[in-house]
Amino acid sequence: MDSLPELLAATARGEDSAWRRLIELYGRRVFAMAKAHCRRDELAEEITQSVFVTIAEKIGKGQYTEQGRFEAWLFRVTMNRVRDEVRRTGRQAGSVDPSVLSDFAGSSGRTEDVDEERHAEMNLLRLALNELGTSDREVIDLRHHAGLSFQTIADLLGEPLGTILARHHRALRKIRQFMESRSDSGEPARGGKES
Amino acid sequence: MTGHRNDHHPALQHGDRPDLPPELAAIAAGLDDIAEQDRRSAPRGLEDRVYERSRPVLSAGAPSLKFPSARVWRVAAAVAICGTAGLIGAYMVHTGGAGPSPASEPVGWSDETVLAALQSLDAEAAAWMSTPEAPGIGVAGDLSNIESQLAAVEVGLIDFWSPDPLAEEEDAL
Repeated sequence: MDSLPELLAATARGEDSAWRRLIELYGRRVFAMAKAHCRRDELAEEITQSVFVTIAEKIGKGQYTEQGRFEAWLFRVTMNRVRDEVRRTGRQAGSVDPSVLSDFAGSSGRTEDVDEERHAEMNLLRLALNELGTSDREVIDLRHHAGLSFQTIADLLGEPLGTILARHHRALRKIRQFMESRSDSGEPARGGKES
Repeated sequence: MTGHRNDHHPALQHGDRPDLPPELAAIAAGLDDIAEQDRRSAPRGLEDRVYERSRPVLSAGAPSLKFPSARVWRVAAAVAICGTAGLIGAYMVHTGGAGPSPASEPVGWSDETVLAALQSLDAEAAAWMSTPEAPGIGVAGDLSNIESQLAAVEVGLIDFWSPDPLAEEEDAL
């Protein structure tokens, strides 16, 4: 039993193992989505727990009917929690300075064999993300941090698929422009991978 | 099982992969790496703690108590205060300070009497409203304050009840 509809059906019947499997499948994606905005592990975990409590509550009370939109629902709840938290605390990754980002990157799984160039490139990408407007950032986060398909993002945001693709493309171009401008101004990090 | 579907859109090549120029594809790949880094940075035992916290809710299946947010309480308190202040203000305007008016005298209720009483009341109210700086009175000022507070509450209520598509969809299963 590993298909999503089966897991959801089993969870609705109260099978703990199915619920645990759902958490294993989606827990870190929800966590990454939250951490992309709040940058603190403990806060990102709190948001993650809150999201899954909400999902469990709805499923437990029989208020969720699987119609192929579980991921859209899950990450909509996540987006709402993240947005509420950002509003509440005024904390947004955009205010983080490069040195903090550098420290963060160094403490979050960077292995010793990753060279400095790559390290700087990742930091520059994070800075570029922070420069995006809400609309662009939303699509980038849902696509890359949540790992959703473009169709699911379109369902979630209630927009046509073509619009989502255009927004994604536009956001990538903005990131690219930001990285190029930083490179031109003598920043040590380079933008993007050479193709 | 990530939900990626085979989207049939001209811009999508190879299923869910958009047709990106190389320089943007490189950026997209970098973003995937960052996301993977964030996923890997999750504290050890994250899934266990999420499971332990959510499992009782799932198995209980009973409605949990939901308390109104602090904002709801603030709006409710403001409405109550403004409502009380409004009643007091209205009472003061109607009865306060000017001594017995012709309208309060026992009179015969002919049309002329009623008209005169209404005109007198109207004149009194106008006088009160036009003397906001009168020492020790300030009713007009109070009314103005109440009016502005009510307007603020109204804005708050409109904002509060404005449909939030994401919040609505969260419950729209």
